[in-house]
Amino acid sequence: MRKLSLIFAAVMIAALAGCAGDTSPSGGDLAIVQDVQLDASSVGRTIVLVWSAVDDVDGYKVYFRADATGTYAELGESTTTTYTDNNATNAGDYVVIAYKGDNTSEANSNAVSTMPTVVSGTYTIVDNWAPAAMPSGFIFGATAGQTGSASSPSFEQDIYAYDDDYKGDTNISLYSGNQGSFGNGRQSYFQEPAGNGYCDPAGTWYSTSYKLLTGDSVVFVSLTDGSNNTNGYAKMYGLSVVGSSTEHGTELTFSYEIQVGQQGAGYLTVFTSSIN
Amino acid sequence: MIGLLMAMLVAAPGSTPKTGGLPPMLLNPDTVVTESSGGLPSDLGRVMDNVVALPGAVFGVGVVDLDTGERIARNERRRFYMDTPDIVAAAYSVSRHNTGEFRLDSLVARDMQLWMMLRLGQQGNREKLVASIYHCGDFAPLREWLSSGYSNTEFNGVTRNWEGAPEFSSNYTNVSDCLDFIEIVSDGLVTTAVRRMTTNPPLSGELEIALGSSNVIYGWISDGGDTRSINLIISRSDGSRYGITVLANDLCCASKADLGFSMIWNAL
Repeated sequence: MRKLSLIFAAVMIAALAGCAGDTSPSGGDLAIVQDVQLDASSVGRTIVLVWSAVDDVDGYKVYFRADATGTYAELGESTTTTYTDNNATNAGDYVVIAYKGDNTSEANSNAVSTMPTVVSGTYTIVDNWAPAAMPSGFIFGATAGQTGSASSPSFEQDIYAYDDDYKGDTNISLYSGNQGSFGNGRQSYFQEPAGNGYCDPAGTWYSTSYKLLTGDSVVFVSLTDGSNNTNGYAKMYGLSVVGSSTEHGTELTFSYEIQVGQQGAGYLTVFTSSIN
Repeated sequence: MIGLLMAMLVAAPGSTPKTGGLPPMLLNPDTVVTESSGGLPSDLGRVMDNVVALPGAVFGVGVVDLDTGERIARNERRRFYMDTPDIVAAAYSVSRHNTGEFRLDSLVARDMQLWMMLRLGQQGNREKLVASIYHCGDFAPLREWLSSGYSNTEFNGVTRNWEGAPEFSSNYTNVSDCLDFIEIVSDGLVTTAVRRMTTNPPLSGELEIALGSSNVIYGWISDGGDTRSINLIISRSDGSRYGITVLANDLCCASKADLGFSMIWNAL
């Protein structure tokens, strides 16, 4: 009886270990799918996966998880060596397994990630009612940070904060870097979030300014180079607006993550859905 | 009573309280007057001469009969300083709306359509006036439009009062251009957005008294320093429709411009 209990315990431990972070039904004896990668045609919310063929199989199953420590869920099947996830609603990891009948690959393929770069830290910019030397502009990406000021409008920001009402109130707009009173920077576009995990390149974008409304926590920004060509997307989150009539005008604090191109694919517009 | 309540409900939704002027419920922006008038009075030119001769200001004045196009003006070509060129922004936006370049009812700031922004500018909000220009494609196309037929008008910017705010050269216009702008907007009054962005201009008490309460009034009034610009479209209860421009510089007092306007109005 004691021997039977030990066997049962060993089986349960093995089963639990197999479930940790991975519920895909690999574990058969078919070959592992190799060289899964994003195809160059991937763009926006269209994620195109390609991989090397496995001989003598019925097809492939594609699994997805939105969280690096989460569990995989089946997304779909393919009988070829490509799969397209149309209208993805958030970034994450993809794996592929081969199957034949009830038999499957002995393990998951390599994982392909569409996760954005999450930039640590929070940033604060102020509106035009703040002292002229304080930063109103912001640059995303490798040289990220606050920039510019009312007293020095010749800067190349992606966006800047501007209040076209009164000093100290909480009305504040994000302006495209090349628009409005401080518009010496680059064109950016703004989109209201339909969900926290994605923006829609074909959706409605505000090209001049974006008024922040009470309760806003997320806004998506389409970034461009100096020639108005798209060169990435940013998700500003954790938006906090504080008005001060005595010192700094209105302050906008936020964090952000950014998609600047994945493995040679186009610019993706999927983001971490769990943060806002 | 029910009729009055209904009039209040449909009058200028979303408009902000104006400085002076007639109660919004009396000026329904959805009202369009289309009857023809009988032309300009024969002694209007003489009255204008008297206005121009008033001490304490330099005047440019003009009237256009909006049904016949007949005009009478004095100092028509003289350039006048204008503090906030809200009439220029309105005429430009109506013109571009008519060509389909952009729409006055387009949502430009999540919570505001373009005409609402122009409306706030008309009511004296300098920031919104500037913002409306940016939402109309920035200053360059506006200036190009002006150069195509209104070259005596310069729209260089609107001064604002935060630290480090950009400074601009002065804005200028003349009577002839203002009458043109009035006609552009008047033709556009068949559009609800145009009526709503131009109704209830911020009249002074003197102008309220002069105009009475039975006329439908659209327009723009701009003040700054020793200048005052009055540009109004007035539909009278008898069906006549006029555009009136009074540009005044080197003013001794704002009421001098209103006096000049009242003299012209009383002659119509």
